[in-house]
Amino acid sequence: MADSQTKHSTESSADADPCLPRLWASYVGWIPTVNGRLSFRHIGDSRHPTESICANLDLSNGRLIIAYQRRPLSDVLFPRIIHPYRGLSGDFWFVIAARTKAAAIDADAVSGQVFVYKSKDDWRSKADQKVRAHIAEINAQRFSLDNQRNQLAELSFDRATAVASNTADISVSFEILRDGTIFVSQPVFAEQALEEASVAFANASGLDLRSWVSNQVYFFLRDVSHNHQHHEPTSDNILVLQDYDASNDLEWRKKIIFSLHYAIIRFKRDDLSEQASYRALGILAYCKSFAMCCKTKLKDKFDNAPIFNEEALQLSLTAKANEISSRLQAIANIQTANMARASTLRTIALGIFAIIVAVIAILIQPRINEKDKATFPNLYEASTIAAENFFSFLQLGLLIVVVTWIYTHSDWAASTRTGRALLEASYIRKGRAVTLFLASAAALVAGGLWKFRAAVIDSYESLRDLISLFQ
Amino acid sequence: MLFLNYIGLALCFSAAAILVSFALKLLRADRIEAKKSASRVDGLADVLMGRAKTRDDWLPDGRIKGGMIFNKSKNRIEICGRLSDEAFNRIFR
Repeated sequence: MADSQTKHSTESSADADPCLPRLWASYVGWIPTVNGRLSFRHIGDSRHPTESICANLDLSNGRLIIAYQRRPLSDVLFPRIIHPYRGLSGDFWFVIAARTKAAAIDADAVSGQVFVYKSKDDWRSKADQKVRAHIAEINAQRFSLDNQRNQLAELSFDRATAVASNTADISVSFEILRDGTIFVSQPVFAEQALEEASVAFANASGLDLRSWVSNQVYFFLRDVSHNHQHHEPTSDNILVLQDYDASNDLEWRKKIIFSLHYAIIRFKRDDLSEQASYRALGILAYCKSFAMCCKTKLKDKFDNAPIFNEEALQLSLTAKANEISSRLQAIANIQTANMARASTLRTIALGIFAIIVAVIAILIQPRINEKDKATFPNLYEASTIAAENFFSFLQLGLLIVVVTWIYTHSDWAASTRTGRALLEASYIRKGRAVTLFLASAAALVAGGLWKFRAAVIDSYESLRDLISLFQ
Repeated sequence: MLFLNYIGLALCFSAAAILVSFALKLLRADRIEAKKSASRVDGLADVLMGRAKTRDDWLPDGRIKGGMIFNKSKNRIEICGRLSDEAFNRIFR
């Protein structure tokens, strides 16, 4: 079945006629391209979410693309603990095998299949070594002067496609046009039991597994063919696939435009973030590009499309970004000026104090001896305490530095993956979570004081001796 | 030995300081955004298992990012979802 899908999608290449309806497709979408012409040369080369292994070779009769990528798709919090405990696996392997049917400058479409492996075991045992070897073979032809270069590369491509086609758990056909339009078929499961169990589980939550899997394939294709510029690469929620109706080429385009404007409004409503306004501007640029692609394709028919005041919106977003930027800059300037003034005065005060102490220390140093002990008893006592407790003071100082350093190092809670997972798990029961965190902190302090009481007692005695000097 | 005691004490105090920073972060969370996001889950188990409710239609869900997992014991692919980075950052600005 998978083989027939490959043949089907390849035959329907839009190089012949970009206006032909794709009867095999169930979904349609758009891969954002701001200049309206997606580069096929870079398809397959991606570093998000993991680095892909790819071959993208331009031959005289078309381009061959084959690449694979591990995609951690689990949204389970603390996966390292929960996955083994519950028998789950969050890593999927996606393989793209696609080609164009014309030389680089004439190719208007790339078509092929995406193969999905549901687990590391499946991928490693069935396809990893073979697909990787074929990718290396294709890459070896990049600068080859062999007369049979085309045939050798195509042979490796066909073999890699056959391996993936015969061993993948799910296969999906697709076609990407030069303007970023993407057609995607229904996913085909190799194992009926897997399909039935998965669909039934999704149906119980009111979700459509087939469209979900197709969307994951779309996210993969988007990751390997475009660079995320105006949103975090981990957020896929700006565009999704739309149902494809071959008789209506306008409806899905309207939905894409609405989706892009929905994302713009979401970012625009964020009053505090300058970055959000700039992202909205970036998405507006994509939106304009998509509208231009639609106009080129549909001509007069696109007049029925929704009209947005994009120029006014762009001005508004720019003004907002500038306003936030200038407000933040003004606050930063005031803070910098205040801090600079305060730190200058503090530095001068500390400098004078340090000079006075240093001069006094130099002057009194000769007085600290057995001979002058009776004349300056406190001075001698202070010197004795400092000498006796030197290492205690040093360690206490280090302790204070370490705790301060770690506490102020960075925003641990929101900048680390575990920190974000902890916050996400705790915000739904905020009161209890705050109590738990504070109680745990208190328990840690108490436990530390007890467990490492030797250090506590040492510090206490050193400080007590020091304080006794002033009594 | 005494030095190791100081190191242990420093680690305990540092861990406590980090926990306090978590508590402060939660106290400063945006209440309205947190309430909207919390409505997508029924409880802690849902959050831990990535079972946030998400919309499945033509308009992308801005609050939840979707993924999937393979349940080996039941031989099925399960849809999952959790807070999107965008929604998370709005709660814990």
